[in-house]
Amino acid sequence: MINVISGVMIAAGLFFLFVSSLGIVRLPDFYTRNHAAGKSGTLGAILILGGLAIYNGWDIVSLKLLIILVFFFIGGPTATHAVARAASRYGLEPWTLKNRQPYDPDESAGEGVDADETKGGGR
Amino acid sequence: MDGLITFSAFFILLLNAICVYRLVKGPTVFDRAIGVSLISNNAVIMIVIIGFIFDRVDMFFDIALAYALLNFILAITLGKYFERRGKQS
Repeated sequence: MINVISGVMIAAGLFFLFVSSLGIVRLPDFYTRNHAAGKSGTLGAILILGGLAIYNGWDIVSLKLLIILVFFFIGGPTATHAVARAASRYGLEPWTLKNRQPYDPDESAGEGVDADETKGGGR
Repeated sequence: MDGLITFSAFFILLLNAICVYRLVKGPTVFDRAIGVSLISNNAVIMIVIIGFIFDRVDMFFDIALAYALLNFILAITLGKYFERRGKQS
């Protein structure tokens, strides 16, 4: 019974860590990547450490694992928020529908279709 | 159960290899900060799992806790430093 519960928790934690790694590669902006890395990474770490603590049983080692779990629960969102606030103060703009592709050919097609590259280079 | 723990160690190693892509090819420095933070986050879990594999959790736990503290301080310091640098320029 304990093996089943801890196995399910470890598998769910591995799934959330995989979602976090996939999001940090595939998402388009800094803030969305931060969103993926912060929440999914913290939840995956908490699930895996909790599953290992349940698998170990009532022990001093399990208490230490709970200590590191609480540290992740407090420190992970704090670190994520610190990096996101620093990026916002630095002047990084969020990803919106207007500036999603800055080098889109549709943008220069409104100005001139024939010689967009020389026109852009002249400016 | 031991098979699942060994599999999770290898799986987390694969996830770290995926995160190295963002670390190398980040457009800004904050993306690299996130990559370092996530890799360290995975490394702490991996140290605990290695302790379970070798049956020495009481020794490996202290290393993991010190590494988690270093990871937290690294993220806070990077945020403070680049925030101040953005204000000056």
